[in-house]
Amino acid sequence: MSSATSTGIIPGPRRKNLDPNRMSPTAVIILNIIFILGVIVCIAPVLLIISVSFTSEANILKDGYKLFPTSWSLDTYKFLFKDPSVVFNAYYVTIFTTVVATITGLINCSLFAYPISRKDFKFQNEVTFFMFFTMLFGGGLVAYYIVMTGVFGMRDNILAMIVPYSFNAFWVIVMRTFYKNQIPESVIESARIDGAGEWRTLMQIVLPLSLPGLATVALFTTLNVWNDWFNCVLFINSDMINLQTMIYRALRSVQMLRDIVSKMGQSVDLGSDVSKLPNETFRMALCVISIGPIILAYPFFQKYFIRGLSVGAIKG
Amino acid sequence: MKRNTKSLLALLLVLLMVMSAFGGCGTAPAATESSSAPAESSSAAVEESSAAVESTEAAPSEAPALEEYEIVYYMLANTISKDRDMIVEKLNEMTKAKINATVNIVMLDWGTWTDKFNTGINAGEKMDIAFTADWYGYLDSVANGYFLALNDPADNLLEQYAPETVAALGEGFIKGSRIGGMNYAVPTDKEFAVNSGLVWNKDLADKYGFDMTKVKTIADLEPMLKTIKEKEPNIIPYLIDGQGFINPFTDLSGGANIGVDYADITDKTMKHVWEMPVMIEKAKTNKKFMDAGYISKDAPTDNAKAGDHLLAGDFFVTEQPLKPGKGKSTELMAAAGNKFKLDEYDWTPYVAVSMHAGGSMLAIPQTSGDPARAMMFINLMHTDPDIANLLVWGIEGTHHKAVGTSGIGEKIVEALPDNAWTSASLPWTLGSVYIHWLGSNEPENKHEMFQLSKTQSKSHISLGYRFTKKADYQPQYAALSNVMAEYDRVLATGAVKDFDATYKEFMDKMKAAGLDEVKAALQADLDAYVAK
Repeated sequence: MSSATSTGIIPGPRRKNLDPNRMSPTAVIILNIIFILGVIVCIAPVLLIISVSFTSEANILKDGYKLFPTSWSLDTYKFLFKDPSVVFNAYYVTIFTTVVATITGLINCSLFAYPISRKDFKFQNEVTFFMFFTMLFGGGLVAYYIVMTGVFGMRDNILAMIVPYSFNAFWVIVMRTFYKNQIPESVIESARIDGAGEWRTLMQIVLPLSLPGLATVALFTTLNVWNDWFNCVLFINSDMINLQTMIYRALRSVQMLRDIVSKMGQSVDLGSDVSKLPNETFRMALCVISIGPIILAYPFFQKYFIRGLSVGAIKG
Repeated sequence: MKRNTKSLLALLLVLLMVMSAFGGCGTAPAATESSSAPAESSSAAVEESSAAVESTEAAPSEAPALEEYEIVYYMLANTISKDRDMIVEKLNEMTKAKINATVNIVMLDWGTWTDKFNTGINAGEKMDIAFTADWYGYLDSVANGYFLALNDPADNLLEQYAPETVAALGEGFIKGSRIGGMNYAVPTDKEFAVNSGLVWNKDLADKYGFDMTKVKTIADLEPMLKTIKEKEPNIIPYLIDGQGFINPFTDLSGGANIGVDYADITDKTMKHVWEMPVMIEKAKTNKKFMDAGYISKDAPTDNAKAGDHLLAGDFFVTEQPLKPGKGKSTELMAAAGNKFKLDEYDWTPYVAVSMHAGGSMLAIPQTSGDPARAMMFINLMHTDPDIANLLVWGIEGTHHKAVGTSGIGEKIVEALPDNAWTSASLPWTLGSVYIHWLGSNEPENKHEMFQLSKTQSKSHISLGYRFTKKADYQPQYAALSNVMAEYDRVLATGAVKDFDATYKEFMDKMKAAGLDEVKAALQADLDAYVAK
């Protein structure tokens, strides 16, 4: 086991196992308990959300939230999927915009960041400032709205949910710093000595070495687009809405329906029975729906995060 | 080195091309859309509106001379219906024949209204009609100059284009929705005044032989609550929400709970709601009930879900704002699917205050291209049953079916299950409810009852008064609402150990937060209004 004893360099103690990773059994147990508790603290709320979403509304009113409700019910999901096309359409819009915006955002940010990371680029400062300026000053919401709808005509256009995420000055700075710190000049120089042009250097040397940086940018762009509802609320009037907006709208509508009947003394919906509308369980079901697919994206990106810590261009 | 710079520049160029290609993509589909041309309309709207005023002044009587116009109607809806196009198409057939206009309905739901409306109007987007209400930003919108004055003496849109609507609404609605003497919106013609009273479970009252009409104050409920508590373990004896009870006053401050006595229609002394003796008395009763367990322990928190219990029917008695002819209990029963029986009884008389008059209104924004035409359409919503009912009930066969006529010849219809329109439209925002058809689950005398609330109610002296100087007292308002957030609920629901001590602490903090200052400003403002 121990390399120290086998080579005989260190004669020292009688204990044969000097494995630096070895711990006493008590420490193992205590640490395990601590981590198990940590995991429970993280997972329990998620399980509660899932179980509440499968409880009937009447039960919630009577017993409150319970991890193991007295009776299970699919009513909330039946209500939610009454018109399944709405949910699937929202999924389609969200997945499409997320994939497209992440890819374009990644291409734009990495391509913009590369030249300005190179010292031998003549207009480095000017181009950097051109981008950096947008981080310092914004036109505000109304100007943004006018430009998007008036100049680019992005009302009721799926691009309104993609274009705002296809370039981000902050990620450009992150990528530039990554190129500067992680890709040493000597690597680029040696590529040039070997006869690689700029394109080849970028595509075959720099980008493959920058995978951890790219993964970071990709993950955060993905999350931003996935969780975006404001652009959709602002620019989309048709039923081409994304998941977050659908959830936001559905929740507000159910709440207002119930509130108006009870508080304002107004009858709202002439045709339906308001008491059958789920409220608490509805929130949880929507929560389950929204975390569904994105949770799968984490393990994929996580691989690169770990590699990002251990992989460098120069070995030794 | 030079070669390097060149190819790096080339990289940048490629990137710029990628980005500009996106811009190009964006403009192409929009060009085909007729409804979205805000860049032109925003600048054109200003010119057009002045032109429209001239043309209508010149020839008010020549109806056929109206040019075709598209009215953009920002409609508050419960959900965004996928059948919108169907309704719009049908509606345009009618409006084209009547006022040579098409209506583009922009449906916005609760979740998106505030963002979209405010951004749109600030960006100068064309809007001809927009929903507004006292509880949904009316004062702020007018303060920001979003809406046109409709009874401007120079161009009185109300009188020129909607005389029938003005007559039908009556003095109360018109006067009650004013700000500084100007009408900035046309109220929906519906029930007018609201009062407070008791709503109780009829089956339980009959079972134990209670005579609820003998109850004059909450304190009188005690013996009944005691019986219910002992005999019916699954029933909440006295249901209250975080507010504790219906405030016996009308808030004129716009959020600081400073106003005048509601039951005394000549009261013009500004006071904070917690300075009224009746409030303290009610709160002390609630404390007694809370200690005895007649009130849910969750009452002061959001967990109380009073609204949910109201619909679940597991309560005995509650205080509610009522409607004439037992309207409230009928509505609640219908909303809960008629699973249990409720009854109700009025405590206070029907009094008309500004808050009720401005409960639901349609305004004409400054960005309207043709305010006259917008007003004509509002008038149609108030007078033309075909147009109003198309907006409320949708299309026969697709969204509703006729089931008969009432005793006085009103059409009764029933919404078809899972249709995409009646679940989206909000009838109380659409013109006059008196010309809407009756729903099959509504009482036949609904319109008669609503009319009663208009004719029987007395106008409070403060009717039509609104405090427009709130912006000058922003710090005080913030401080006051902080203090109220801390004490209001626990005091009102009786969840305090020592009421008197907590009450004193609360009032001291309110005074420190600037209560007297705001009160004095409101008093001076109201006095000036009453003097006029």
